[in-house]
Amino acid sequence: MNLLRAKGGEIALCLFFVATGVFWIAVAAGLPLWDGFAPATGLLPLVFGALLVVLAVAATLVDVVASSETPDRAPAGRAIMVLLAVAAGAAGIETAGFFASMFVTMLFLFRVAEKRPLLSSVLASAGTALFLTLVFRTWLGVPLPAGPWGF
Amino acid sequence: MMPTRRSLLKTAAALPLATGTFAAFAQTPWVPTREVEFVVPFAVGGGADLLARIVHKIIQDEKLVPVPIALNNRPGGGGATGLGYVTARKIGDPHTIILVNGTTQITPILNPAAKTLSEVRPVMNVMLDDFVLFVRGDAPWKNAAEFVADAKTKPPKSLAFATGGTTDIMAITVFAKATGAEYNALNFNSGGEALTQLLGGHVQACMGNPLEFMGHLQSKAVRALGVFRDNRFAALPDVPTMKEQGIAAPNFQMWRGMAVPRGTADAPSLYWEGVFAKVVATPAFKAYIAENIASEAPIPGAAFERFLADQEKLYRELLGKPA
Amino acid sequence: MSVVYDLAAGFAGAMTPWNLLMCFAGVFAGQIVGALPGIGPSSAIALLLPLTFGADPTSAIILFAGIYYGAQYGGTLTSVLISVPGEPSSVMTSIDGYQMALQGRAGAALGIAAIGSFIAGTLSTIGLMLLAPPMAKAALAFGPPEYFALVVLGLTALAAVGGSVLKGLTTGMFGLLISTIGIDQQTGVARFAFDQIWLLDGVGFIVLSVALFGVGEVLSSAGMATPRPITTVKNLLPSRAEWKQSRMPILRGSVIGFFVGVLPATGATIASFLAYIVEKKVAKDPSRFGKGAIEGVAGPESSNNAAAAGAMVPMLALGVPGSGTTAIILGALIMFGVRPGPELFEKNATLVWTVIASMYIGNVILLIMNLPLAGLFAQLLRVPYSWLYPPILALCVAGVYSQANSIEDVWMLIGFGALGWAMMRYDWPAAPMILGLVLGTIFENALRQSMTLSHGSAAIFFTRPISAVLLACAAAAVLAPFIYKLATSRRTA
Repeated sequence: MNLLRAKGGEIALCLFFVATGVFWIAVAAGLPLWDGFAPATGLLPLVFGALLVVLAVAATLVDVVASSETPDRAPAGRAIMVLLAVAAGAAGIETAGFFASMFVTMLFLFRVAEKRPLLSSVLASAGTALFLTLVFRTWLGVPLPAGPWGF
Repeated sequence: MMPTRRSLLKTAAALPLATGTFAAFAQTPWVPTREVEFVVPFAVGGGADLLARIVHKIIQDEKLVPVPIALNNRPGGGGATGLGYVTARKIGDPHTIILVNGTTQITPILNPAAKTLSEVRPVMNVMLDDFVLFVRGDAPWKNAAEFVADAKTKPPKSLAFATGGTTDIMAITVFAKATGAEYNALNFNSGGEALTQLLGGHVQACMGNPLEFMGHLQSKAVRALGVFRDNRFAALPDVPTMKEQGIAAPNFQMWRGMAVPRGTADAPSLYWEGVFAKVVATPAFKAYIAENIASEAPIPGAAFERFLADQEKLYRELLGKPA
Repeated sequence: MSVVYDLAAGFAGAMTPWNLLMCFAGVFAGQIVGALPGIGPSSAIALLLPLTFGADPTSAIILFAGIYYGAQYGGTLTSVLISVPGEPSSVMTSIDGYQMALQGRAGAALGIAAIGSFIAGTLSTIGLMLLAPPMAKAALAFGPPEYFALVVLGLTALAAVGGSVLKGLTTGMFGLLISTIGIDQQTGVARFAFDQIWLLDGVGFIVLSVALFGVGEVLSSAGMATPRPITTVKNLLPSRAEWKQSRMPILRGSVIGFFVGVLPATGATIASFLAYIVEKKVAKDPSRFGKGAIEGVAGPESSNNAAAAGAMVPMLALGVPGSGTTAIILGALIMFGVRPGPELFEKNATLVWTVIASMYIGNVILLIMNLPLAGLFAQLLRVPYSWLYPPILALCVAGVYSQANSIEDVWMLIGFGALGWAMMRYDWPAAPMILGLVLGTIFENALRQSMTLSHGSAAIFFTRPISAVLLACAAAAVLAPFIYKLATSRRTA
């Protein structure tokens, strides 16, 4: 139980790699493995999946055995909040447009996550969103999604 | 000066004809009222994208459409991403036009997840690309018949082809079926890579569009052995057709055309047909076709749909995936 | 002596006010698109192409070439300053360049990148001028087995680029694994795409690198309990000692970059990886790498610039594309009525030599432009990180979206960004994963092409001389540390 608390993150990441590897093996096993002279679609994914499982387990075991103490790590809360803010912004891009959704995302990060003054936060968010829209959409012709208000 | 003047005269003759058909069929003439989106299901800079940019430029330079047109590249999955985008967002929208080509038809045959061309309403085919069998300039074969004869004396798959994509592989299938010999196919990313492999002597032959190796043909670094057409190709008058050499290969060319989303009404569809008819008649477009060693092939509306149905049957047969 | 004469004529052509302007416009635009993630030189050239119809082909090619090698300079900027690789070829720079920036040496990192790029760009243009036809012929000797062996050599580096060997191999294997997502080039049929259209093209290289390095870094830094100290920008330019340390990496990077660039199926990205690995292998103290070693910036940055000039070799000498971007420039040549082919050097001598001359000029312009900019941009790091990271995230989103105008790419950015954060947190190296993704496709294709060519016999890899030598090098790279250990332990025992 102590091990899980001390090394929970490492073990979770290892499990992620193992699960991906196992999934790859499972799917690749259903694909043709050899065709005529050469490997077919499934062979290399199968090999990669198997090697990933072995390597991930080995790397984690070495890591866990080597040191049992937990290094000082920052709490994950802030990183997760930032990640969710960007995800929410991405979800809004197609409906509210790039400008508005990125403006709101940045404003949230400045104001709520970093507790910056309101006026500066608004100006910095609007300025950055405008600059990016100008560069990507106007100059480079990238069709960044627009909101119902046309930008 | 003569050719220019002649092509100008031809243009002048073609214009009223195109607008004539348009006026005859359209009950209420439709014109676009807001910005038109031109969806290109391929990456910026490729052959399909260049065609789209030329058509786009001609429409704007000649002021053929009263509203601005914005290009929107939606590359990915051999055209699947672009068609998926149109299916999801643009059904019935007359302010959208889409570039379609053989690849967009082949992708869903191989990958059932991809949307098929039934998601669009074909408006007009604009050009055809030829396939040519070519070998290195110092190769022993002078024509396709000698090549086939040699292949038959050797064990199967002794002669290797480098291909630049699925369409090249299909041309090899056509050739193999017609000749009864088996060939080894090595698949590369692009026609350029396939050509490099041929020049390096790693393979014996290539099957590709003339555009990719024209410079090498002129300098005799490669030699063209035959073309998949019913008659000789004007740009390559010295290259015999497969049929001339006793190889019963069908006419095999790749098409490129324009479409509107499925569910678009007749009037806008006819409007766009009129616009593209004018585009293909411009000297600028004819110059583009000549530079790309392609063939002009304006096939409008219903005839284009019949053409596509025939192509679909051929592709499915070649890929061994009957409907 | 005809080279001197040709080059003089080329300079005469390139020094006209209009062509000088085109050269300047090209390198300037290249610098900007290079710095922006997602948008690269190929899309910039395609965007400008319709505007240049009817113009003089020479001026247009000067412009396009300028965009191409200018972008290699620009990619450094965002890699060093904010750990967002602007171009695939500057991923390796984000490792040590960004660490240097955190230590207040961003100016030095950018400065050495500019100087290294200038030297590499100039050296490889000399190489292009003197060696193009024989080099291009030599590159043709690379068939599928040779590419396979080259990639195997590159894969031996999976363990070397990160910290822990086993962890590096694991993330590298994960990169290889995700390289199998999408349409299988050998059959045209999709795998691991789960009927999702947006997965048919697989995971974009720029998506993964911006996610792991850019977003991952932001999440790690923003999550710190104590705010990151404001970086003091010390010296704006590399010191004498740093210059001394970087001289050989710049030379090695130039040579590696030029040769790898000449090979049509490999480009600036693989060149920069190889240069980084070589620097780490030859370094007296490899443990400095990843913690702000200036050689880790000088080598790859020189290498990617040399590769850009190297990629022009097959284009100009053989008329075949040396990279994705040169393929577009070749397409442009056709639009201008210049038929690319093996005789471009003779038939279009004026065009070729004027473009070569413009490359010398463009590299000088870039050096003059970048040295003062290095100091100026380094000041950006005086801004507190809490003001910096939200705009960085918005830039990552815009850049990744613009690569294929796809919202799904943005979702992948967020997903892989979370993975990048977790990997950073638990000390799993990210660079091998990107190396695996880049090399995976070539590895699989070359393997299957070779086996098809040899009718199923693996002997093809050992009977062809270039392939055999490359595989022997790979074996040596893997076994050397063990043999060394064995030898030293015997001696002490």
